[in-house]
Amino acid sequence: MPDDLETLYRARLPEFRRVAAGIAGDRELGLDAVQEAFAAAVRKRRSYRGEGTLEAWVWRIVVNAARDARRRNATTLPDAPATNGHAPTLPLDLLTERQREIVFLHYYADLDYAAIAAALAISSGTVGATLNAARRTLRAALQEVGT
Amino acid sequence: VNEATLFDALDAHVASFRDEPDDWEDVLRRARRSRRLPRRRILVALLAALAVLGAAPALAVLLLSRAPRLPDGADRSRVFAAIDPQSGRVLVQVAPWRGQDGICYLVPGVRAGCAHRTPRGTVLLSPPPTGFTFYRRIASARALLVGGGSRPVVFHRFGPPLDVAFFFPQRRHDVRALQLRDRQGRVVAQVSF
Repeated sequence: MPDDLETLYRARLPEFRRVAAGIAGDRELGLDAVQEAFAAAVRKRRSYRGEGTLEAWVWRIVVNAARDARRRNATTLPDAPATNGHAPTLPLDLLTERQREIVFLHYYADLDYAAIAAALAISSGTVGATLNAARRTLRAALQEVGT
Repeated sequence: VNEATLFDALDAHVASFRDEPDDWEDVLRRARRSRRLPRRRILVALLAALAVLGAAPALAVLLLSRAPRLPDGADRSRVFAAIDPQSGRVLVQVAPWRGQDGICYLVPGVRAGCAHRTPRGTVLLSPPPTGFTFYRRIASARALLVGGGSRPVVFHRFGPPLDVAFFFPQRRHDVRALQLRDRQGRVVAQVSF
């Protein structure tokens, strides 16, 4: 099992880190949250009973760790998101926490609805509806910025 | 705005971690470190139990003193308070932090502490969404409710030397997010719970 965790860590680390950074609202917090989450997974490996995939189980731990990091460190208002000079800034503060998490899991980790549902312990239908609502909100906001 | 625009914006929001090295050894170190904690906790609990058995009267004092108090670092000669206009209860006590650029505060029943001033620093206290902000642009706060809609939040700004504003939603259980707004009512930040 630790080998499986290590394999998963090495295979999907950039995605875990990117999602965690998005949820935590900070790159360094995201990095740290992933390390802590995998340490917790190593520690709690016996509690994984094979219900669902190992990856979904780990995603749940990573999301929780990033969420905790964000709450513990919600001491400074986020600066305007960094951009590459071409892409518009993203008004993520218009989304709920759940919407943001689903957006990050979908776009940054390329997880499908079923995988996101497993990671967040919600139904696939909820994932779809939430993601659509988030897209509508973001598109409307980006449209407004563009006009 | 199409999917590609949205994707570009998300891509720019959190840059890729593709080129950053992994550190599995660090994961294992953290896992080992955390494993040791329970033993320490058991030891601390045993010591605490012994202390309790040996000094029951001291326990009473200890329990009574667990309620948060204005921290020792507070300048007690300059303590300010905000009072709920409806109930008359003290919402917060605030004082300058002695020898530091910051404040010390006591939100009765919630938390006490000291915080360094940063130009845009905003602190959420547990349980949220009580908190305070040093950001001068913020002039009001509004709670967004779980069932939709919103309601204003008690917002109290302390002038110099504190230069900080506290916000206190009246009921917390149905608040899903908090909006901090400027004088024109524009949303400066939104924190979801």
